[in-house]
Amino acid sequence: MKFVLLLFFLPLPVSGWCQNYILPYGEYMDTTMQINPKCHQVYPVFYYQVKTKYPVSTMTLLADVKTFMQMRGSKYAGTGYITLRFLVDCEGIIHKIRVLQTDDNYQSYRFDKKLVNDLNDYIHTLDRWEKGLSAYQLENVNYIAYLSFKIKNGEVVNVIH
Amino acid sequence: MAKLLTLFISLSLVVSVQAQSVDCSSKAVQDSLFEIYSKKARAYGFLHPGWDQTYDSLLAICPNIAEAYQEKGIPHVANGNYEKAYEYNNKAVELDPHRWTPYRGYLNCIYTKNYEKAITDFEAAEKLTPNAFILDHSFSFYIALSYMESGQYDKAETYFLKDIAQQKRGEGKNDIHFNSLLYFGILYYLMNEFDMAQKYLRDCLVLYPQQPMANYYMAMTLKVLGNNQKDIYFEKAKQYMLEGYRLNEPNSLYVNYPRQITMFEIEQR
Repeated sequence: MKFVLLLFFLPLPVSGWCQNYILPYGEYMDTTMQINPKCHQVYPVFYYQVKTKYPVSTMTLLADVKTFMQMRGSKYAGTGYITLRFLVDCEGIIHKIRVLQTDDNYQSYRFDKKLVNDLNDYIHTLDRWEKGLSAYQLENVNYIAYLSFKIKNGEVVNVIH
Repeated sequence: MAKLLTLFISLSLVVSVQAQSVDCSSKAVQDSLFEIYSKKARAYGFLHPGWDQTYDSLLAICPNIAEAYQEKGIPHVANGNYEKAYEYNNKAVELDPHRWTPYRGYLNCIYTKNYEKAITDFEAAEKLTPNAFILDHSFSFYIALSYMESGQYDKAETYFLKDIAQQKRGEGKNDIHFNSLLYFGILYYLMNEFDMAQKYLRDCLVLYPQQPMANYYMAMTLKVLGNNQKDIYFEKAKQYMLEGYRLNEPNSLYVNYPRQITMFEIEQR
């Protein structure tokens, strides 16, 4: 019986089940972080302290995210910005994703959960983050980076990074 | 009771004297205070909680110092928290529109790609401080970029011409900023006016031969024209990028400028 129940639940789309974690210091898609023993275990630095950004142009990222969202085939609504800020570990794996959302006037706003989830899924497809970076005489540091998606009437129209 | 009364009177006098001794309406007083407090804040760096606390202390003395709000916005601009970033920068604009309207326009143009708002801010700024510059460029330059990125190429062309005219003021012998020439070239590339694109990109490369973006867009222009010299420019773009040459604009460490490229795009040629 348990096995039948398991089979019933498995095909459900994972993103639809994602729950955000609203903490006193922000809203997170994912609060977990597996400490990678290969990375330096210090407080992480920011992307600009290691002089890195996701190493493709905004035009390339925009085309990529548009294709990804089209493949999802969903209709979304809302205008403004969704920023996903996260930790990139020394092997290029992202963890602990914080969500920041505003409308076009930079006031607090909440987009459809499905849109945020799909963008969260999208950033997990990015596999070119710089790895093994050094800062302040420390090797293999983890760093904090972000990607902001400018949304107009539910469509991603620009990426900020 | 007598002691309490004495303490109360003393405290009242201290508060009263302090309040009277700081004239927050004086620009000289504001500037002096800002100099002291910003030196302290910069010793912490903008990622440290001491940065915000220092400016909060300053604003507790004089809540009308626009620069303190702008500085409080810096960490939020760098880390993608636009709600906080614009909350502080809007306050700075409210207190000192002459100084901070163009900076907010810059944030709207370069950071949040909110081109309608950028144009509104820069048009207002042009009325407040005509012919001024911010972060190396005229207001017309940023308006041109905003129109270009909105696909309104004719208007972008008009404003790039204004930008260049403004730089040529006086005897007209000034060098034009190489990135004005770069972006004017990119605009003509987008408009499919390839002769003009080549002209401006070549002018840019005369001033800054190692500019990877100018070499890349020159290569892309020649590629459209079927000119084999494209390979030379692609190779130059790659070589100079590897050697560490960049767009050379303030804040490009934090955010990509319009049409900025990386090695990925050069290798996709």
